[in-house]
Amino acid sequence: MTVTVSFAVTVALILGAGFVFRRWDESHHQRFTDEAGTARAVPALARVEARRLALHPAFLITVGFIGAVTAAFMIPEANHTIEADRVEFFTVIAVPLGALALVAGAHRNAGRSRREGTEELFASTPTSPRARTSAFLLACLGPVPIAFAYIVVARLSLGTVLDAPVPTLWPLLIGAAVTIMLAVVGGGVVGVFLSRWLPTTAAALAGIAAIIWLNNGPDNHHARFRWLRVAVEKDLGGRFDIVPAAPWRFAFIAGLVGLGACLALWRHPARRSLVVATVSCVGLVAASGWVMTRPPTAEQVRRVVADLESPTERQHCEERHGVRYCAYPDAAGWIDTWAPAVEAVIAAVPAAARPDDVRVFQRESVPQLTEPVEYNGDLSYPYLDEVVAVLDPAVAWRADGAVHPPLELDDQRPDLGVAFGVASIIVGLPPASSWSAPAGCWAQGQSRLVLAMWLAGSATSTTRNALSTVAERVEEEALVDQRVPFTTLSDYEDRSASGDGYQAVVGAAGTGADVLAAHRLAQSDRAEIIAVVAQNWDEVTDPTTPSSRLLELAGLSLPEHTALAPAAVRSGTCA
Amino acid sequence: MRMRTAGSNQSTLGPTPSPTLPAWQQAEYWRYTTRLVPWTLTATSILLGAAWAIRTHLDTANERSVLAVISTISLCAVFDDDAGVITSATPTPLWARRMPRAVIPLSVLAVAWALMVVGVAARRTGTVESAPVWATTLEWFTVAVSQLVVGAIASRRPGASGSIAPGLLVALVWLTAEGAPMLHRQMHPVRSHPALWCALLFVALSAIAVAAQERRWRS
Repeated sequence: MTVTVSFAVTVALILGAGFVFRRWDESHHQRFTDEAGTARAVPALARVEARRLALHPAFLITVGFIGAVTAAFMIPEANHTIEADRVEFFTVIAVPLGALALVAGAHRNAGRSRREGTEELFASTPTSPRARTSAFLLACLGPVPIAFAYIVVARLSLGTVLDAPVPTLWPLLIGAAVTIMLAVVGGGVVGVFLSRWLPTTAAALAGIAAIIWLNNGPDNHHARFRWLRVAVEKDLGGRFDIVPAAPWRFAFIAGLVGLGACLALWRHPARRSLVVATVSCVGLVAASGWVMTRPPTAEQVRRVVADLESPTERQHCEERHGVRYCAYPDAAGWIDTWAPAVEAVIAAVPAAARPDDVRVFQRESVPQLTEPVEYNGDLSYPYLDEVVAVLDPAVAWRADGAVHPPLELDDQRPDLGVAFGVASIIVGLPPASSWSAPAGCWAQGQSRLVLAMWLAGSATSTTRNALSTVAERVEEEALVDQRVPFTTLSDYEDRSASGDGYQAVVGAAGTGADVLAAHRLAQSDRAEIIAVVAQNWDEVTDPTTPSSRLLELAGLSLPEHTALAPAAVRSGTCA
Repeated sequence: MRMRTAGSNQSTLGPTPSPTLPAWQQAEYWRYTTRLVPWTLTATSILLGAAWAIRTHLDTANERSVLAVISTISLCAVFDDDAGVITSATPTPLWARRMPRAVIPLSVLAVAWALMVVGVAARRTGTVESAPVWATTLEWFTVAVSQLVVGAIASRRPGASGSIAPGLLVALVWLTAEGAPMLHRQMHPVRSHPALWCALLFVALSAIAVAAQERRWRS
């Protein structure tokens, strides 16, 4: 069943049940159905009801509780679950949930007269029932200032709290904020609509369930029909997705909100203006929905493919101390974080070994493109099918000798990956994974791999912390003889080509024993290790030299429980 | 006729004395209590739970946890009493008035939940994240009792009857505990944290008992 049919059936069910309920209600109770009266009191009533709705405990407690939980548990969470450039969406997630609570709040407010048995009293006032409904609908704007203030405070707080600069994706953030504000109004409107047709407590609960079902149910993962909902869950490539223009999205949601308001007013006798408004809203929803579900044009596909195959054309590029950096404009602030680590790594090696053409180019991690991947019961590629059909992955993810930090950046280990990539170049290892070697090469037990890990892990205070964190994980999870990618960004949908659940961004990988060996080196005096490495540069960067030799030169030994792993390996597969 | 209210030691002599029966042994008492159950809301909870169970097949612990939350939301309204002003003046203590009102919907929902779990389990064919029956049952009862707690507290507030907002908030708390990784690790799987869940259940039952005291919280 498509989302359009589902929506129509849901609305028809509510209206049908409402008609049946009304007939039953009027046959069992004496109801006052007088529609006479004026609408002059609508603004005054709306002001009162807006304040009441904005301060409704269901809305405020929901926003406050989720906001507190987000701050306390989600933002400090390790980036295995939340990527840096998505954190900002978790900061505002309280508001959409508050919008759902508004369904119950508005339903309860608008059903007050019935619940308290004051319908007869209200029927005797000069204000018509239609005007009362109109006031309740206008009052749905009341919670918007609170929701907006929450988003602003949450975003500012996030920027203050996090150590690393989180790229602010302004177009996405503004689009999400407008959508959320419309959803807040929509939540209230749905509550009023339900209260007018089905004034029972269960209707509010069923209404919330229906909203969740319509939003996350039929066609939710369809490449084009996914846009026919308020909150679009399916993401086909993030920055590389082809997204309808924001005004169409806003028009679609605004049309739905308007349609909800019209349907609430249809509980009262019809008027020509109501017919016109209803037809207009249906037309707006249909037109914007039709536009958003058109297949992407050849130009749109070409632009995405070009962005994937030649990302530097759309990136901010600059050169610092002989190193060229290119990052997407929203992530350009990360260059300030990367540069000190890169410079520290280069400064730690002998002058003769310093590379003269280091490039740090932000690039999408190597995805799984050979076949669609199952996620949430849905088979799909990470990008639109039209993009995958044209894209040449061997070009997009070519082994070009540059370091390629991914788009999803780790705010807890902001510079370790880039530092390791540069160190890999220096010791002769590939600096990034590629289409031909998505999981990187296997350099288990090699001295040069441990050297690269140490160079990166001792470069700055943040890389030292990051190396300690990885080493602790190796110890805690007994990963001494397991493959341990040095930069571990989990692939949430497991669409990475690395095959190990982590994004394919690392050029060379080893085992937990290699990490522990690098950590052991990092605990020693850095100047002494630099001197030892400089004296024995050719030997320690030789692919056939085992990591135990590097430790031996440094006068160190591996922890006892890790002794077996390096002894079993004498050579790796990295060319 | 000898009349007696639930939990009361006082009786009224009528024209035809008969052997005294405790209120809970009289059918009329249960018929009356049954009429007080918010059946529409209870049925909605069950229908939503059934739809969730059929849609997800309850293959994972997370899906079973969500079922527990969905299928118990209606319990937040079982203590709503529009006639509270009248019934509060009766000699029957509050706890005695409330107990049967909780027992009936709780029993109905428990049976419906068990049928859903068993029914879906019989139909599914794929891999299943198994959990011991005691853990699943403990989780469901803890969630259910938490809804009774919020219902018991909310119903003390004048004019609060007929609202599912407290139940939705409790559901939100449970769903957040499911979704927030740091919280999830502290509470799940249930079989690994039986002491925590038993403690939660005990605290919830205690809260219901406290909320059933006659002392008025607000004038």
